[in-house]
Amino acid sequence: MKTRKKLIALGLMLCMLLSCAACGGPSDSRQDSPQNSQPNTSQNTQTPAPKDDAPSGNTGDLSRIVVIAQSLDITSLDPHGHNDVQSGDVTRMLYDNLVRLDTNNEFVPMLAESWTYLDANTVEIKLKPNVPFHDGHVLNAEDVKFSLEREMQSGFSSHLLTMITNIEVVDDLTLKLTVTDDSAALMSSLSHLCSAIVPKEYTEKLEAEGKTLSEFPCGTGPYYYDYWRVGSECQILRFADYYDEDYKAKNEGLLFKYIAEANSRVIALETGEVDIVLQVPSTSVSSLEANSDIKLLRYDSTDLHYISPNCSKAPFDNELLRQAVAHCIDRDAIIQVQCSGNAKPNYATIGLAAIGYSDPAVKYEYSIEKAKEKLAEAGYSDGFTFTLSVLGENNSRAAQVVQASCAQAGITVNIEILENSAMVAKCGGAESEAGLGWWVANAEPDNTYSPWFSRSLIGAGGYNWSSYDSDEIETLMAQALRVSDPAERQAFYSQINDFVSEHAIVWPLYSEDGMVATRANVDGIVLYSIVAHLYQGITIAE
Amino acid sequence: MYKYILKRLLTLIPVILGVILIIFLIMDLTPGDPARLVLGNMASEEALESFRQEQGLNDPLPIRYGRYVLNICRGDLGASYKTGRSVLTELLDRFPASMLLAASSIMFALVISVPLGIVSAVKQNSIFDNVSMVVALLGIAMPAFWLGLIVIIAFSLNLNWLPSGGYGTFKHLILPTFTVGASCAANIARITRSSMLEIIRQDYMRTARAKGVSKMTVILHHGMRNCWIPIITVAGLQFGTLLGGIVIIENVFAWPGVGNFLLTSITSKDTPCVLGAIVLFTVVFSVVNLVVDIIYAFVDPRIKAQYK
Amino acid sequence: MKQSKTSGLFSPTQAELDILAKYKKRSELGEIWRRLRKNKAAVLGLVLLFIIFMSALFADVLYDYETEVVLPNYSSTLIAPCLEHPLGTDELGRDVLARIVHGSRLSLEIALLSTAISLSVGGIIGAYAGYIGGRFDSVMMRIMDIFLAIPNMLLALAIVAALGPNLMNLIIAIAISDIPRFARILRSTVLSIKDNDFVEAARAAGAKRSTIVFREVIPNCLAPLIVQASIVMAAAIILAAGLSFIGLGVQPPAPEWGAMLSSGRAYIRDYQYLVLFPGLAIVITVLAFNLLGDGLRDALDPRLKQ
Repeated sequence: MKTRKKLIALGLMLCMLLSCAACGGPSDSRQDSPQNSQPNTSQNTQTPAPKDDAPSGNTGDLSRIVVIAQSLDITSLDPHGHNDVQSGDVTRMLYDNLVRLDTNNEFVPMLAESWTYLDANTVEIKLKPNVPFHDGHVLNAEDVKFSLEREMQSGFSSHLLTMITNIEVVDDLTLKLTVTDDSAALMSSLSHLCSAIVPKEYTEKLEAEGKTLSEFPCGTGPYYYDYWRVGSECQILRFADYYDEDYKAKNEGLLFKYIAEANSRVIALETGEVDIVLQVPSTSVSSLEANSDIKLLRYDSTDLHYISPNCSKAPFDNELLRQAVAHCIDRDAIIQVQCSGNAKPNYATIGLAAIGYSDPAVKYEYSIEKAKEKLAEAGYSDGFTFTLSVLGENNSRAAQVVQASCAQAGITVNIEILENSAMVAKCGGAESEAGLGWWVANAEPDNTYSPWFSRSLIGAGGYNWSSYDSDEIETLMAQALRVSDPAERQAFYSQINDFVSEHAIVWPLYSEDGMVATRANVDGIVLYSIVAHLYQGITIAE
Repeated sequence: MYKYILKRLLTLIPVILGVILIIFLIMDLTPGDPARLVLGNMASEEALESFRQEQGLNDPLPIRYGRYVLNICRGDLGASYKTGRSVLTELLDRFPASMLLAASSIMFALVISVPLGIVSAVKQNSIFDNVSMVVALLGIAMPAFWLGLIVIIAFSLNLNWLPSGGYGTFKHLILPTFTVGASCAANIARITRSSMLEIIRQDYMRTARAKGVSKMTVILHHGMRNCWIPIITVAGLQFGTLLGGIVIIENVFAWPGVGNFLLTSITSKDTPCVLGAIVLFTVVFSVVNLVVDIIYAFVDPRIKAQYK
Repeated sequence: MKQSKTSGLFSPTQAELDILAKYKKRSELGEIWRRLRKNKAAVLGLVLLFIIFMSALFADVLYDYETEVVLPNYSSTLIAPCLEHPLGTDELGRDVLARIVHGSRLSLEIALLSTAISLSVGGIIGAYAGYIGGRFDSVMMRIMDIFLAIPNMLLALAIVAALGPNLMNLIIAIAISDIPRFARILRSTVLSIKDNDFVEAARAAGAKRSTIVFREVIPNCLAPLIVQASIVMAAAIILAAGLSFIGLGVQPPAPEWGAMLSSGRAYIRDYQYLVLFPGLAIVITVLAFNLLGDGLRDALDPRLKQ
C-alpha cells in the first residue's frame, strides 16, 4: 500500500516536470497564426494573404518549402529596423524596393515603373499600378513617401538617403523627389534592402497599438510572413498575388533555420535536413566538394574582413603605432588559419569584387622587423597593450593570428569576443581600441565609405569604427557623390583608398570567397556578389 | 499536509527574493550605460538623461531593486536592450524547449540509474557492479559539453544516425538528453547503490529473507521503500547541476532554449535578459527543491505525522 | 575524541593539552594514511594527481611556453597525431600535447586558488557562525542558503558576465560559488565539537574567541574540509573548462583545456583529435580528484568502510 503511494508521489513529480515542459507546447509556442493576430488595419481590405487565397490547384507545379540554414539569428523583420545580412535574407523576400540591382550591376525597375530626372535636382518616380501588399492594400505614392521618410528616421539606414531633401506626392502613383547635388548614390540607395516599401496605414496603426512591424511584417514581396520563432527559425510563404510574374515564387515557401554552429549547418545539409547553407564554413569546403549529394557554388563576394583601430583615442591616435600593427598582419597566415585558404589577401578598404575597389599605393606588408622599427620610432620599443574586440566567435582564429604576430613585435593583444549589437555599440561608439569585423559592400561605394569615414558618424554607434576625423576624406567623399561618371567616381574612391591605407586608418585583412552549398537537387538560386541572393526562383527536383 | 506545503511555500519567498537580490547586485556591476545601449550613441545627452529619469536608472540601488521585484510580481522583467521586446516574452518563447530538455534528461537519468544502482548493490562486487561503477565514475568526471561533442562525432558525424543540433523532432532530443542526463545518472546510480547496500544489511531485510520471501521481492518491496529518500535528494540536487549544464549543452546542440538565449545575451551585453534568464533558472531550481521537499513529506511518515 | 574526554578527568594544563592534541592528530593521520593506501582506487587517484602535478611543475622544462605553446607555426597546422607530435597540432600549428601539459598548470591553478579562497572564506564564515551561534549564525546561514539556491554554473556565469572574462575573474567566480558549501560543512562540524573539553579548556584559560576558532576549532575540522576540497577542486576544473568553452573564461592564446575544446570544435569533422585529447585531460584530472576524494572519505569515516 505504502509503496504504491510512493510510486504515485514519484509519478506526480514526473508529471509536474512533464507538464512544465508541455505547457505552451514545445514546438509551436509562437505559431499563433499571424493572420489572426495581425490588426485589421483598413476596413476595405482583408487580413493579409490568408493561405486559402492561394489557388490550391496551383501548388502542384511548386517546389516544397525550401529550408535555408543561416549562421546568425535574425534581428528584425522591419526593413528599417536592421541592416544585416541574415535579417536581409528574409526581409528582401518580404518587401520590395522601388528599384532592384540586376546581376549585371545595373538598376532596373521593381515597384517603380520608371524614373526620370526632370532637372538636376528633381526626380520623378512613377509606380507600378495594382501592386498589392500582403494585407490586400494596394501600393500608392503615400506608402512610398512614408517608407522613405521612415527609413531616414531609422538609426540603421539614415545614412542612405541623405541626398533626398523633399518627397512630394503628385498623385496616387507619382512622386517627386528633390535631391541635393551630390546624389550619385540615389539609385543604389533606393535598391538597398533598407529602402524597402512598407504600407503606411497598416504600419501606423500597428505602431499606435504598441506593436511593431518586426513582429507583424507586411510588404509587397514574393513571400508573406508566416511565423518567426526567435532564436530558432522563421518561415515565409509564397504570396500568390505577387505582381511580377517573372519574380513570383516557384516554391511554396522558405524556412530560414538559425544554426549557429558551423559544423551543425554542414551536417544538416549532408543529412538533407536543410537544402541550402548560406555561410559555408571554410573548414568543411574540401569534404563538401567531395560529396556528390552537394553542390558548392562559388561567387566573387564583396566581403572584406578588416580591423579598425580607434584613431580617436590612445593608443591608436598615434599613427606610428597604427602602422606598427599594420606591419604585424600576416594575411597569408590568417587566410590559411581562418579560411583554410578560401580567401584572398586584401589591402584596400573595400572588398576585392566591389565597385570602388582599387589596389592602394601604399601597403604595409607583413614584417615584424618593420613593426619594431615603427615602435621604436614612436618611442614604444617595449611595446604596448591593446584590446581587440572581435565580432563573433567565428573570427577568433584570425584574431589569434594577429595576436601572435603582434606578440612577436612586443605588442600585447587582449581578445574580446562580442556579439553584433554589443560590437556595434562599442566600436561604433568609439569606445573600443580596435575592432575586427567584416563588411559586405553593396553596389554603391559610398555606402561603404560614408558609414566608415563620415565625420558625423564618429562615436555615433554605427560603423565608423576608425573614428578618424579628416577633412581630406570628407572632401573626397563629397566630390565622389557629385559626379555620375563611373571612372571619375572611381578616381576619387581610389584616392580615399590610398589615403586610408597610407595612414593605416583601417587594417584590411582579406576578402573571403563567396560560397553557398546546396543539395544537388536544388536549382535556381540567384547569387549576388553583394550577398543579396534571390531565393524565389529556387526549385527542388524530388 | 497542506500546512506543511504552505509552510514550505512561505519559506520559498525570502529565498527567491534573496536570489534576485544577489543576481541583481552582481549584474549591477556590469559596466556600460543602459541608456546609451537602448537609445544608441546618436542620442543627445538630454534624451539620455530623460530616459534615465523615466526608467529610474539614477535611483539608488535599493529602490531599483524594489522596483524590479515589484515588476516581477506584475510579470514584467523589463525590456531587452537589443530587441526592445519584453524579456518575459523572450524567455517564455524559449522556456518550453529548456524544460523539455531538463525533464527528459532527469527522467532518462532516473530510468537508467535507479535499476543500475539496485542491481549493482544486489550483485555487489560482481563484474556488472564493477563495470557500472567505473562507468559511473567516468560519467561524473566527464564535462557534459565534451560528452556532447563526442556523441556528435560518434552518432552524427560517423554513424549519421542523429542530427547534431536543432530542435523539433524526437530525434533532435536524443543526443542532448543523453548528454545532460549522463552525469546525473552516474551520480544517482552511485547513491542508489550505496544506500541499497546499507539497507540490504539491515535486520528487517534479513528477517524477510529468512521468512522465505524471494530476494527480488524483498529488494523491491522492502528495500526500495527506504531507498527513495536519498535518491530523491540527489536527484533534486542534480537538477541544479543539470540546469547549469543545460546552458552549455543548448549551445553545443543549437537548442533554442533559455540557456542559449542567456549566452547570446551575455555576448550582446543585454543585461535585462541575462538577469531575467538567471532568475528564471534559479526560480525553477527552487521550485524543484520545494517539490522534492514535498515528496519527502509524502514518502517519510515522520514529516507527515508532524503536520497531520 | 575519546582520548580528550578521558583527559578531562585530570583537568590538564594548556601544555599538556597541546601535547595530547598533537599526539592524537599524528596517530589519526597515520591511521588515515594506512587506510587510504589499502584503497586501490584512491591510490590510482593519487598516482594520477602526482603525474598531473609533476607535468604542471615541469611544464616549462618539457615545452617552452612562448615558442611551443603560444607561438603559431603556420607550416605545421593540423597535423594528425604522429611521432613528432604525439597528440597532433592545432589550427595554428601548435603542439597539442605541449598545450595540454601547460594547460594542466592553468587548471590546477584555477582549482587550487579558487578552492583555497572558498575554503578560507567559507571556512571562516562557517566556523564563526557555528561557534558564535545565535543571530549571527542564522543570518549567515540564510545568506548561504540563498547562494546555494543558485546553481553553481549560473552564479559563476553571472559573475563572469558582469566582471568580464579573464583568469582572475574566473577564479573569483568559481570561488564565490563554492563558499556556501564550505561554510555549511564547517559550521556543522564546529557545532559537533564546540562543547568538547579542549575547547572548553581553552575558553576557561581565557583565550580570545579568534584564537579559539583558529587554533582549536578549525584544526579539528580539517578532515571533512579536505574531503570536500578534493570534490570541489574536481568540480572547479569542470566549471572553469565549461566557462572557457563558451568564451567566458580564460582567453586565447592561453592553453586552457576548455578553451582548446572550444577552438577545436570548428574542426570536429575532419580533425577529431582536437576535441578528443583536451577533453580526456579534463576527465583524467577530475577523475583523479574524485577518486582521491572518495578514498579520503572512506578513510576518514571508517564506519562507511565495511
